[in-house]
This record gives sequence, C-alpha cells and structure tokens, in this order.
Amino acid sequence: MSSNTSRRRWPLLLPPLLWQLTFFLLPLLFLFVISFWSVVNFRLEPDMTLKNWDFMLSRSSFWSAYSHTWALALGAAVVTTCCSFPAACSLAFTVSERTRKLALMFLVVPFFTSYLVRVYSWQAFLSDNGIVNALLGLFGLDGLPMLNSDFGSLVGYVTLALPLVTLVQTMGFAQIDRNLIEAAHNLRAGPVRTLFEVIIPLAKPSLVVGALFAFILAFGDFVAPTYLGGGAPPTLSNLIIDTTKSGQQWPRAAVVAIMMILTLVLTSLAAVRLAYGRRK
Amino acid sequence: MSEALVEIDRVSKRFGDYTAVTETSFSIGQGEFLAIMGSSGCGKTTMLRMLAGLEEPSAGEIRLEGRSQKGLPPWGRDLPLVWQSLALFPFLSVLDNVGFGLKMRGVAKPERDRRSLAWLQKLELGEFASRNVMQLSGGQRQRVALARALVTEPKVLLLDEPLSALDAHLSVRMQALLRSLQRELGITFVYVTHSQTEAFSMADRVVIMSRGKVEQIGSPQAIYRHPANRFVAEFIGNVTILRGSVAEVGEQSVRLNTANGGMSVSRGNFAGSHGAQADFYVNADQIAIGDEPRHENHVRARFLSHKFIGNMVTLFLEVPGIDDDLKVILPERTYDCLGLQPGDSVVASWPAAAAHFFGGAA
Repeated sequence: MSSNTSRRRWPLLLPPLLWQLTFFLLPLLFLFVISFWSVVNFRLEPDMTLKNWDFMLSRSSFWSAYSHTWALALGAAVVTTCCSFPAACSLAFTVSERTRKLALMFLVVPFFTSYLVRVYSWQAFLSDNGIVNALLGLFGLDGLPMLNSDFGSLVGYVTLALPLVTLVQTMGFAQIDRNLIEAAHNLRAGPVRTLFEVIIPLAKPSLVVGALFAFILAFGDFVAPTYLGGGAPPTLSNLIIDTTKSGQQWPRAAVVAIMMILTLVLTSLAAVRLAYGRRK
Repeated sequence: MSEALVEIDRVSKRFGDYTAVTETSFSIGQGEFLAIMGSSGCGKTTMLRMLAGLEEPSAGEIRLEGRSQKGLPPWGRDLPLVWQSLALFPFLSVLDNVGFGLKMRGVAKPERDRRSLAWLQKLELGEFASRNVMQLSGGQRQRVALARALVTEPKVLLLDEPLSALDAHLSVRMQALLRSLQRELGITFVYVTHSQTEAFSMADRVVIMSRGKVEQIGSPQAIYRHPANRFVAEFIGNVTILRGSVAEVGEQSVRLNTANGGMSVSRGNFAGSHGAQADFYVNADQIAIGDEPRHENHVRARFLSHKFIGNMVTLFLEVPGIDDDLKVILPERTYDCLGLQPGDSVVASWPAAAAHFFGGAA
C-alpha cells in the first residue's frame, strides 16, 4: 500500500525536482565543465585542459585567500553562535510563550530590508569619521580603524546570520525536555553546571546547525568583505570577481567556485556528523 | 513510626488563581514508606515537587530533620526524585547517568564509576553500563533511574508514579524490588501514585489527597477497614454507604431506621442523638450471601454482576432504596458454590460489627 501511495504521489514531487535539475544541477555541471575550457582572446572556448586547475591551485594567492575565507567564516560562526546563545536561552526558557512568538517574529524583520542596504548603513557607523568613532571621541578616546578590516567583514557576517542562528537555537532550546533540566537540578547541578552538563549537550544539534548556517553564509558572502572588509586581503568571493573581471577568466573562477562548493559540502557533512553523530 | 524526618507544616501552593495544595500538614518518619495517593489534580505531585524544591510553597514550611527548607534551591537539597518520565539523560551512557549526582558532588571519576557500577550490579544492570539509555527496555531504564537516585545514599527518596508506564507483570516485580530495597537501605520513601494496588501493597502509611487536601492518613489496613469519610470510601470502593435516622443509641451499637428497615451499626465514638440522619458504611468482605439472613442486618437484593480480582470476587447487588450497588466480596470458591445467575434474588446480611460510622472507629 505504501509503495502504491508513493507511486501516486511522485508527480507532486515533479515541480521541485525539475526546478532543482534545471536551475541547480545543470548549471553546476556546466560550471564543472567550463573549469576545463580555455580563454582565447578574451573568449571562452570549449576545451579539455587541466591548466586552469593547475594555475589556481599552484598559486599561493589562492591558498591565502582560501585560508583567509575559512578563518573569517569560522570566526563568523563562533561570534554569531556566542551572540545568539544568551538571547536564544532566555527566549526559550524565561519568557512566556506569547513573548517568544513575538520575539521570533521580530527576528524575521531584518530580512525585510536588503542585506546590501544594511551593510551600507554599517559604513556610517564604522568609518573613520563614523558614529562609533565620534562616540569614542566624546569620551576622549582615539578613533579605531574598523572599516576595511576583518572586523568590518565580521560585523557584516553577523548582521547576515544572527537572526537566522538565533531562530534555529531558540527552536532547539525550546524542544528540550524541562524534566531533564529539573532532574539535573534535583541531582544537585546548579544553573551554570546544568547549562554545561545538560542544556548544551541537549541543544548541540541546534548549536552546530546554527553555526553551520553562519559559516555557509559567511563563506560565500561577497557583500560584507567588499563593502566593510575593503576587499583586501581578498576572500574567495573577491577572488572570483577579480578573476572574471581580469581577462574574462571564467574557467579559473569556476575552479574557485568548485573548491568553495566542495569545502562547504565537506564542512556540512562534518557538522551534521558532529551534531547528530553516533551516540555511544 | 519513629521520629519525624520530614515535617510538612500548613503548606499551601497556589498557581495564580488555582490552589493546588491547601494548608496541608503531615510528617514522614525515618525509614518509613509513605504513599501519597489520589486522582490526577489532587495535589500529590505538587506536594512531591515542593519536597524536592522544584516548587516553593506559597505558605507554610517544609522541614527536613528539623531544618526549614524555605528558600533552598532544588540543587541545594538532598532529595533525589525518580521521575514519572524517568528523565534519564539521553546523551550519557548508563554508567554516566547513574554517576551524574556524584559528579555534581565533586566525586572523582574512578570512585564515581566504582560506586555507580556497584549500584548497577545490585540492580542486575552491570552488563549494560556502557550502553546508551535509549537502548534499554522500559524496566531496565526504570532501574537505571532508581540507581541514579540512590547512588548518592540519600535519606529520603522521592518517587513520582515511577511504575505507571510499566505493564502489570513488570509493575508487580518492581513493587517487590522497591519494597525490599527500602527495607534493606532503611531510608524513607515518599511514593506518589494514583494506583491503590501500588500504594496498598508497598506503603507503611498512605496519605489520601483530594482537591489539594488530605482526606485520610493511615496504614493501608486502617484505610481499607475504616475510611474516614465518604470521599475515601468511594475512592477505595470496598464499602457500600447507607443512610438512616438514629432510633436508639446503645452501649455497643446504634440502631437506625433505613429505607430497608432497622439496622445496627457499631457505635464507636458516635456522638449523634435520636432522630439525627447519619451515613454509615458496610465492609464488602463481611457481608454473607444466602437464601436466609445469617446476621442481624439483612436486605433482600437482586444479583446484577460480578468481577474477579485475584481469587476474590466482587458481587454487585441491587437493593431497593439504595442508589449505589451493594458491594460484596467473597472468596472465589464460596461464589462458585452459590451458583448465582444475574437477576437471582438473594439475602445479604451482616453483623453490626461490619457496619461503622465515618470517623467513628478510632
């Protein structure tokens, strides 16, 4: 009977399958194919060469951009996770159901405005003559260089990922069985020990998945490292732009893109394993 | 009962407009097995949660060994609870679940594991120490929860309907285990349940609660024989309540006029006077059934139905003038000899000593 119903239902799956095939899998395949093409006189020519791969992967500039992107994305994951944690904890455990729903609704509000616009508005805060430095000046402190630095990029990443990560964490915390928390208290675990011994292990999937979202969003983001990070040292997204602009090197950009996708796939697998990994 | 270990002193608990427990007082002795029994919403679980410190009383005080527990957080108390849901930590092994309380007390890992394993072996779970709790059966998990609560050697163990999820067979075995453990350790058990079987088979004393109040406290036998009031009588369900007006107060017994004629009831400390209306109850297992009356109180009744409980049979009889069925408990063999068919007319009779006034039998 179940195979019967699934056979009757599979036409319903057709639209998303077609969509994924046409707009995701085929372009991805095309991306992979053109990484073996050549550029002759600023024009793409079908080819079967490994020189794009050789050119990119043997270059230290690629690997420094790669490690820089990795470090920034990891930083974004850590900072966002830590910033979300207290908010998610209090939304899940201390406020009423009503307040929680309201707060979760407000977490969606940032998405009403374009991310680009939000990043631009950060420039007004972070620039050398910006609002933050002006406030520091009021207290007689020297201005800090914040724009066009890794700090600027991180601010952008957190802006992008924080609402989503808080949402994921709150959902995770809210699902924790309160009996387990009370059981920990009953066995003489105070609030801090309960947090580390019970709540964090129980919320691990949502913490890891939240951090993974932040990592993925930051790893591929072009807006924050360009408009807040100044594009130097470049991230992989900066590198793709540079490569395509300088001499129409689409095949080399494809190599970078495939390396990014590969990295994210492996990171995601590792994260899922960490989150839901075999329990003894 | 020896000296009071836990004193519950005029404790009330309100949640907003709802009062879960009203001015309740009783004490629990050292080494006693106390069952708190009642239907859902009677306040028994709230009582237990207040003992554990998971709820703070709105009024009154709970004392442990004479010390007030007021304001003490749950993690500052030493009253482990066995949860109805068991509340085992899914991310820890069986051994680490048992050792959790010791870890929180700063017991080093080797010592912790040694003591936890000893408890697991005692409860025949030694081979499962390194398993995940999710891989165990319901009965095994039950024993893990018990080991986790007992490994810290508390003076009092709190149990919140721990057997309600088990099937009947397993429940009976766990009851025997709990009872023997309690005797062996000599610690106090406070056991909350809605099951009369569990409460009566294990407890030294039973507290019957309803609507946030204590209805009766006493040994299972005392409650069974002499329910304090109509609520307890109906809750335990082994007596039939009758009503009459007092005709004559004698030395040993009181004569009443009922819808079914004159009846004698043990006097006890009955204080009513001539003409007063009074409720009394008849113990179901002290009623004789036959064609002729065998005792001084008798009614003619129609046999309706029966129900087996172990090797005893409960008979339900219809008596004119009584709203409830007259309940009679007979040994199975006696019931067989009667050869009753539904609709048969019988005479039910009982001595004055089988009938009592509420609260009358001291």
